[in-house]
Order: sequence, then structure tokens, then C-alpha cells
Amino acid sequence: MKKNCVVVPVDFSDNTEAAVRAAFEFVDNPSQVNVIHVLFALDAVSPGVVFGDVSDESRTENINEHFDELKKLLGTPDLGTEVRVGNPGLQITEYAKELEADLIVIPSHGYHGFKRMVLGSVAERVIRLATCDVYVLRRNDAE
Amino acid sequence: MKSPQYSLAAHSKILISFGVVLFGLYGFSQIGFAQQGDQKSAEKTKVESSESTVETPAKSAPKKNPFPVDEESASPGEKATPVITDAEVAKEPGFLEKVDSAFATAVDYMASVLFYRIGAQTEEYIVFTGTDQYVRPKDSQGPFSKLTVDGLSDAETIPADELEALYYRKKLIDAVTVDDRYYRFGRLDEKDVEYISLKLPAVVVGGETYKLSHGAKLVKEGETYQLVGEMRGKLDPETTLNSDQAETLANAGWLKKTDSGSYQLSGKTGGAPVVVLWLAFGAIFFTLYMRGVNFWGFTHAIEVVRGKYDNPDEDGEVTHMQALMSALSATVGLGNIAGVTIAMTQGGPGAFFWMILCGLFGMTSKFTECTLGQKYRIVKPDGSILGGPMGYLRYGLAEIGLGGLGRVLSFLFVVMCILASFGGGNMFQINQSGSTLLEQVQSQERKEIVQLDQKIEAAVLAKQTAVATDLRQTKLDRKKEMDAFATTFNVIFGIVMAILVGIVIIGGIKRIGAAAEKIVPSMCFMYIAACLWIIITHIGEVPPLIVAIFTEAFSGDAIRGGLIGVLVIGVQRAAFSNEAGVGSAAIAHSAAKTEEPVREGSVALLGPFIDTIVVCSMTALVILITGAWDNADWVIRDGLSGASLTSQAFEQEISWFPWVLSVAVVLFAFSTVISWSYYGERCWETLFGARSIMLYKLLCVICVFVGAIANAGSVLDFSDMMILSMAFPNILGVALLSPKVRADLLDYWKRYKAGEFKEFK
Repeated sequence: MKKNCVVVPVDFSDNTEAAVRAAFEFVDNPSQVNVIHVLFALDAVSPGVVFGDVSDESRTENINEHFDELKKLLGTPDLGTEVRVGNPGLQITEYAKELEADLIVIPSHGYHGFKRMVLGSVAERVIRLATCDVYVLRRNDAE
Repeated sequence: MKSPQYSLAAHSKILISFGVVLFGLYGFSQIGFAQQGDQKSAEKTKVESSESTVETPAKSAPKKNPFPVDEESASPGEKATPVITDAEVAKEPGFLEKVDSAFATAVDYMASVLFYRIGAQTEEYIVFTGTDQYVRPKDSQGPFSKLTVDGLSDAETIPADELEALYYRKKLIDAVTVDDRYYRFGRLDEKDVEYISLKLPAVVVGGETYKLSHGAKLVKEGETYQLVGEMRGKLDPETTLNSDQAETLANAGWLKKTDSGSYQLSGKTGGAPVVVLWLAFGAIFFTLYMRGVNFWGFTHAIEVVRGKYDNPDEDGEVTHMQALMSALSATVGLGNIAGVTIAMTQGGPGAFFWMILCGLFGMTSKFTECTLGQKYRIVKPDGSILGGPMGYLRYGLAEIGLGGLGRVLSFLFVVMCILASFGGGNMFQINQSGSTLLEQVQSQERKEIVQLDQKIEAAVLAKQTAVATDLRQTKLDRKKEMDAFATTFNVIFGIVMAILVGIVIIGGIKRIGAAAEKIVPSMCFMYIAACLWIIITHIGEVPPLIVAIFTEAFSGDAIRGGLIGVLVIGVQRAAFSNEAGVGSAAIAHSAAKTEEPVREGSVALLGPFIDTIVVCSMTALVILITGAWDNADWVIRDGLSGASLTSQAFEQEISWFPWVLSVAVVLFAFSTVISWSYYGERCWETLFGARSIMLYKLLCVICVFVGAIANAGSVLDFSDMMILSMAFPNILGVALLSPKVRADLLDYWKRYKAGEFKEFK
């Protein structure tokens, strides 16, 4: 079941490393794995935006620094990375389509109850919108 | 097509009722004036005629009041006096009024907890009810006959055409003026009747004349009853009754009675609301525990704000200065302009002293909570910050083994903060700023109405019926125009503000938000400059004023509540304004670029200093110097309070300034809404996650519009109370975590003194 191109959405929480490692199982070369982080739209009322110099550019820069750390941690300098702004489910599947990826590996937070109701699930949305296979990693320590 | 019509009707009702509130101030002034007027006319009455003085034999049976509460008071065995049941049809409540009354219950409950007065004392008092009732059958055009113990008396009647004159002489109680009928509908002996209740400014019992206005309250002081005055409830030692006289009046039926028939009523007075004590306890405890960092840390705070230690490479969103501006934009606003004026009118000059003291001690509350906010903040991968009480309550308390309590407190805080951001931080601001602006826009028309009223009264008293009718029509037309304008104004104001808030928080147009927030400091400076101008032009009055501030702070002579009363008023208003101990500012301050929590804490302590000790003091001094706080014409007759009284005080000194003031109030309100929406958003994110924030933003924009058009008094009170209730979880958590802050502070100060900090400027 080897794949040519795998997309992994990450949020830099504790399960990030495990998710990327899981994706490596599907490919011959780590460079076939592309990680994406989706930022929420810039908040126009936070002090950083109103008074400071927080912008999508500065936020992207911060995320890229995190990507660099991740690459170092995994020892894979040629890991593909992407930062986008918008709705996570939509942006992830768009990115996968653009890369013509044949698999998305996604960690699920496994929220229950109220949070589940309000948040829905990025994983669900990805499954619905994706045109390729989706592999969902179940977290055991979910809230 | 039913629903649009219905909603339109409901809508106009809401708007009309909003208009009614605006005129409610005016209405109140009428009542207040009436009571004063009655006292004056009573004095005259004694000398000139006995027309309105009623001779009542001491043996006469208890009089009856039309209100159901007194129906029970007839003692068994006595001959029952006929009782009129009021049958005025209440207006069908509109949708918002229904929502309002549903919330009223919740608000009452909350108020009974938050404002539960600790140390309140029971006072005994009596209430004078000098009324005579005159009745006629329904739809009769004839005269009204006096209601006595033996039924209607034909000997004493009032012709129907005298009602209007009585109304303008303020003799009628609860007159219905909607269709100029002045009488009320009621039921007497199972028959429909029309009736009036006539105020009696004085009664003669057993040969002695008692000059008391209807509704006058006299409290028991030792063996005598003293009249409670209208200004700040001060006792009037000139008007006293001894217990024999009270007994005589009661027997003659001129005193209000309880269900059990006793004329000695009792109620709670004095004491301090629990939330005020809680805030004060926090402020004093933190100040002592942090060894007065608010004093010795002050110059360091200035250094930090000036950017001496600003390291651009440290985590965070903004500089120290920007964090402080951000936090201030949420607190500087109506509290400084309206709240302080309320404190001065209620508490007199002495309240100023306690206000300042509350600001001084509040500085340490702010220091402690903001240090914690910074210490337990979360830096997200994109560099943005999530910090504040929800962080330190949860993670900080978990560190000291109180994770369960931390979760509960954090949850409580987050829920209260979200509600506060809809109410006190949003609807309340929009509502109050809108009505301040409307009042200013319509100031000319309102003066015209007052003049018309005076002309009508003169015409009626001079029996110039035709002139009076014309004038009345003019007044009616003017009022209709004003109401129509107010309706349009509120809707447009609501739409404009909702659009502005919407494009900032939903549209993400940062320039508008940034512009508004940056205008706040300049508006603040303008306001301070105007205040200083007024103070300087009255510089001669300042020294005696300062003496008064200090002496009255301790003597408590200005108000009935004495020292404790003055203290509570000063502390309460200062705490409402600077929000020290509430925890909200910790959310803004945690965004500062620093790795030293104590450093941001010291910046935060400047917040209450600027808000309370600088800006609030300016308002207070203007209100005291112009005499607005003690101006019975403005406070009692015109019913001015809060922002409108501040505006009046400024108008007297700088005629055009009220316009600047109302624009400033709107801008302050706008920036407060933006800042509070940030607080609410962070709490929403904590509770529901970042992905549903759009829902919060939509709710925020809806609240702006509703705030502008609604007259939902208790909804607003409720949300305003939420701001204060945030202090319960917050101060408890901060107090538990304060040993950590103290250790950090002492360590930081040691390093500071040793010159270990790198300077950047």
C-alpha cells in the first residue's frame, strides 16, 4: 500500500510527531510526506493586531520556525511544509488536491459531548471533502 | 403578511418604551419637584387658608390606600372603609419586556447575592400617606365625591374640570395622562368607578398641623422620627415627630401600615455589599502581602512602559506600552464619566477620598493578577497568546494541587466573562452612549418641552382653557416628533455601530479598530484638559474642597450612611471603573512581549492609577467644584444623574463641551466593545475552541444592535453584574496563587537591584 504523496495536517500538539511518523510508513521517501498547518483568520481585535505588528506574514514565519524544529526532530530536512489561513477542513483537502496526493493522514482529537457538538471535527470534514484516501489516527488521551 | 406587522408593532413598542425611559428622567423630576413644592405650599397653607389642609378627627377610622398591599390592613371588628381596587389596564408587554421580566428574576437573585449587604442594620421608620380619594361612577361626567368611612360624601366634591389644574399643581397621585383624563379606573363595591388620589401636603389631627408630603419617610432616631431628605437621604432634624405624634397620626390613618396593622415599618440599611468587601479585601490583602509594590514599584513601572527593557525577540504580541493601552481602552469609558458622578451625588466629597484609596490599593490587585496572567499564558505555534485568569486558575492551581478547584473557577470565570462581554462590555456601552448622544442631539427640544409645560401650567392656572388646549397640542406634536426621531435615531445608531463593530471583528478590518483604540488616549487627554481648565478657573475653591474631601471622608456628614456609607460608595464606583480584581485586564496584559511576568505586572499597576487616580479624579473634581453633586435643581428637579449630570456640569463651564463629551462617550464605548470582544473571544476559545469563534463574533454584533434599540433594563443589569461576579473566582484563585507571585516579585526585584536586566533604550 505504498503511496506517492501523503498530506499530514499538524497542529504542533503532542501527537504531531506520531502522525508524521505514521505517514512515513506509507512512503518510500520522507520527501513524499507534506505537512500542513492551517491558521485561523487573523483576529482584528487582539492587542497584537491593533497595537502591535502581528500579521499573517509574522504568524506564518512563526509556524515555519516550528516546521524547522519538527524537521530537525524527525531528521527529515526534505519534508514538505505548507502554511495556510482559513477553514482547516477546506484548506487541507484543497492542498491535497493541488498536490494530487493519494492519502491524507489525520490525527483526530476525539472530542466528546459539548465540544464535539460545537466544534464538529476537522477529520470528519476532511473525510467528506477529500478526493483521496483518508487515514484517521485515533487518540487515546482525548478529552 | 402577519408577522412583519406584528414585529413592527412590537418593535415600535420597544422603541416607545425606550423613549419613555428618556423621559422617565423628566418624569422623576416632576415627582421630586412635587414633593418639594408641597412642602413649600404646606407652609403657605397654614397661614393663608385651610383649603388643602384637611381636618381629621383623631377618632376617624384608618384610611385606605388604593393599592392591594394595604387592603389587608383593616383591623377586624372595625367598620371597614370601602376599598378601591385599581383597574387600570396594563399595556400588553412586548417581546423584549417579557424577556426583561424573565431576566429580572435572575437579576434579583444575583443582586441578592452580589449586593448582599454585610453588617446591615435594621431601621424602623414610618411613611406618611397623605391622600384623599375622590370617586365617581364610570362614564359619569359629574363631579368626584370624597371617599370616607361612611361611603361617598356628597358634601365634599371635586368638579371634573378641575382635574387638570390639580394635575399641574402636582396634587394627583399616579394620574393617567395618556388621554388627558387624569383620573384612574378602579372598582369599588363591585362597581366600575373612576377615581383620583389627592395628595395632602399637611393634615390637622387633634388640633395640630402636620406638614409632611405624601410618601415622606421618617426614620426612628432614638425616641423621635426624623424626616429622610431627598439629597443623599440626609436626615432633616427640623422635621421630627415624637412617638406620641406618630401614634396620633397612625390612629388617624395617615401612616402606611403593614399587613398586620403596624405602622412601624422596618427595613435594612447600611452595611457593605459582599462584592465590594470582596474586592476591597483582595486589594488590601495583596497590597500588604506584596509589601506595597504599588508604591515602590511605581517608578520601575514607568521605566518599563517607556520601553527601557523592551526586547523584541521575546515571545508575545505587543510592547509593554501597547499592552497597557489595550487594557486601558477596555476600562476607560462610561465608568469614568458617568459612574464617578453617581458616586459624588450619592456620597459627596468624602467618597472621592475612598475612591482614590480604592484606586491605590487596586493597583496591587492588578499587579498580582496580571503577573499571573503572564506567568501561565500559552504561546500558540503562530506566536499568538492565550492568557488570563482562565490560564492561571486552571494551570496555576493545578500546580499547587488544587486542579479540581482550578477547573471549576476557570469555568466560572470564562462563562461570566463571555456574558459580561455581551452585556457590560457591549450592550450596556452601546445603550448608554447612544442615549447620551441622543440626549445631546435633542437637548434643544427637551428644553422646549419644559418651557411648554410651564406655559401650559400657567394657562391652566389662569383658566385660559383655549390657550392651554393649543399649547397641549403643540406639546403633543413636539413629543411625537421627538419620539419618532428617537426611534429612527436608535435604529440608525444601532445599525451604524453594528456595522462598525462587524467590519472590525468579523471583517477583520484592523485599521478601524486600531484607529478607534488609538483615538482613546487623545480623547482622554482632551477630557483631562477640559477638566483641568474648569479646575483652574475655580482654583480658589480648591483648598476648602480638599479640606471637605478629607473631613467628610471620615465624618460621613454628607450622607445618611455615615462613614461606612461614604466608603462603600467611593470604593464601589472606583472598583466598577478600574476593574481591579475582576481579572479582565490580565487577558490583555498577557499578550506583552516579555519573559518576566513581574515586569508586565508592574506595568499593569499603572492601569488603576491612570483610570481611577487620574481620570476619575478629574470628573470628581469637576462635579464637586461646579457644585453639581449638591445641586438640588439638577439632581432632584431635573432628575439628572450619571453622564447627563456630568454633561450639565460641563455645559455650565464650557458651553460647547457637551458635544465633545457625547462624541467621546461614543468613541469610548466603541473601543470598550472592541476590547471586551477580545476578552470574550479568548474565553470563548477556551470554552469552545477556536473554530466556533465566528459564532461568538456574530452574537457580539447582534448584541450591539440590540443594545442600541432595547430598553432591557434587567438584561443590562444582569450582564453588568457579571463583570463584578468575575471577581469571585478570580480573587480566590489569585489569593491562593499569591505566594508564587510574591516569590517571583522578590526574586525579580533582587535581580533588578543587582542590575542584571539588559537595557534596550
